[in-house]
Amino acid sequence: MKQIIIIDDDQAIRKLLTLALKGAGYETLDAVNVEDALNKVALRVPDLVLLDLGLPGKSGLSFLSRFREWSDAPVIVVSAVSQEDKKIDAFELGADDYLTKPFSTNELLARIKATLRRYSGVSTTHLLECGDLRLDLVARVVTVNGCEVKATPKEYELLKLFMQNIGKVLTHNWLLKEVWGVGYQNEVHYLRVFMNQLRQKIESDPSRPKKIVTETGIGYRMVCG
Amino acid sequence: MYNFDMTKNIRLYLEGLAPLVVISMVCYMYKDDLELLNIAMLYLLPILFTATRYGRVPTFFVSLCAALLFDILFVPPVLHLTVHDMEYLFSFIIMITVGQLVSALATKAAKTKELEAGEKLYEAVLGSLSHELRTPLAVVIGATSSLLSKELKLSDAERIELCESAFLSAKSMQELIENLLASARFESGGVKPTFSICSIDEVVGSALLRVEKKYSKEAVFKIADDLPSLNTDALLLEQAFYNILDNAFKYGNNVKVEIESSMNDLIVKVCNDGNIPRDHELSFAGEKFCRLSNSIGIQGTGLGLFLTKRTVEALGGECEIYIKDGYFCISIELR
Repeated sequence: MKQIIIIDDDQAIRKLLTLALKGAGYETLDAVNVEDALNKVALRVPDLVLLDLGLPGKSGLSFLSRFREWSDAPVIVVSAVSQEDKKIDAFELGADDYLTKPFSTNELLARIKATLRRYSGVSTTHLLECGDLRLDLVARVVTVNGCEVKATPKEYELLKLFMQNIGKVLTHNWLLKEVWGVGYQNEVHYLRVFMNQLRQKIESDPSRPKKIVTETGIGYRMVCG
Repeated sequence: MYNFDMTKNIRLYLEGLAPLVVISMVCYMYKDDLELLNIAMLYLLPILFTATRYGRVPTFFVSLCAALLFDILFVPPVLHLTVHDMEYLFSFIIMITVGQLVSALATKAAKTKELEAGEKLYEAVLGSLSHELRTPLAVVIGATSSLLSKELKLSDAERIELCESAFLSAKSMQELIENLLASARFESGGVKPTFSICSIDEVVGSALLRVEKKYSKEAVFKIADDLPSLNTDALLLEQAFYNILDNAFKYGNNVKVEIESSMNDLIVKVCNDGNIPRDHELSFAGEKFCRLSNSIGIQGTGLGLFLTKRTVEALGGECEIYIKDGYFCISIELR
């Protein structure tokens, strides 16, 4: 059974999350502040961390940076709308996903499932799939509904990153660094142009992208199914 | 602007002088039948008229004219400015003092009226807000208490229905509270945009996707080619578009969204047909807590467009609201 640690100072929220997660078949553990959480994850590394940013005393971000010093376990950050500017910081520090309070249980469970699936062992297949989209890592071929799509090398690199990180938010900075290299972090318009071209090729309605969705102000996320 | 004020001021003075001229003519015609004291009293009328309407300076001007005319036309020696009797000098002072006193009182009364209007607006706002909050809250409490009740025998379908209505009501309360908090942040100057390069079609597109999902309807979405990049706060701007798109779907059957560019400016037009406001109301659109005639019977607080306008202004853009071919449109220009 997968174990999830809930780090939140509010008792009602902890209770609600525990109930929902237990109902969905996860084992849960909770912590009320950063010290408490660090002590608990040191005893046993959880399969996933659900981290509230607005903790009393030290903020959730400080937990994240300490935790990332020694663990790669997935972290989903939860926060109120007023802290939206912390989203980017959270992703840069290595958060896997971000949810804004209030959120529905369904959404939370879907995000947890997607995140855990990504971590459940490195895929050994050379065929990546997302809905009607397929990418063959060996042949370097992309198909939509069985039809081959001509992608430029940069478009292919971009798409490969998305298909290797299905469900995960990829920040502008990270994508620029991975595809264009260090030093291109501020050239967001490069990314914009290539994303636009890529969407023209893989989306059925490029003005309403359903496969690679925009996370405004942060980056993009690939969604399947 | 300056010319406009000038003509407005001149008109103001002329309007004050007109009754004075009329009174002077009447008094002059009957000057043999009227005592000087009565004429002096009659001369107070145009002064009071100006004082109750036009404020201190025009009143002073009219009082002075009244005193001069009274002196020239009626006080012996007639048609001369000289005054023999000190008594009349005293009446001039009275004319000016009365004028100033009454205009001061009138200003005070106008201010009280304004305050009262402000209080009424406050009450209206509170009334609308408490209604908008209480209605969904009543649904949440009603639905959850029914679910908890041991006496009620509910079928599974009924339970799901109750849960759904509680969920939807909570969602609508959430939107209202976010809007209230956002406007409070604007009022307190707590909104500090963080600018970065982004693309307008992505910002508008993701707001549109959210709204289309909410209403299960699609807009006609046109994006021009080769749009320039935009340096803005993408998150704030997305919420700004969400607010007006939400209105467009709420009031309209058909929604059109267009993004185009002229020179280096980006123009986003959001238009809807259906239940649109009247032409003469447009100047009130987007004022805080203001709802137009087309909103009767439709839930809302009059905060959405207000927030959009404030956000767009904070980001250095402009909003224009107009009606064209039966469509209510909001055009947003960004640099």
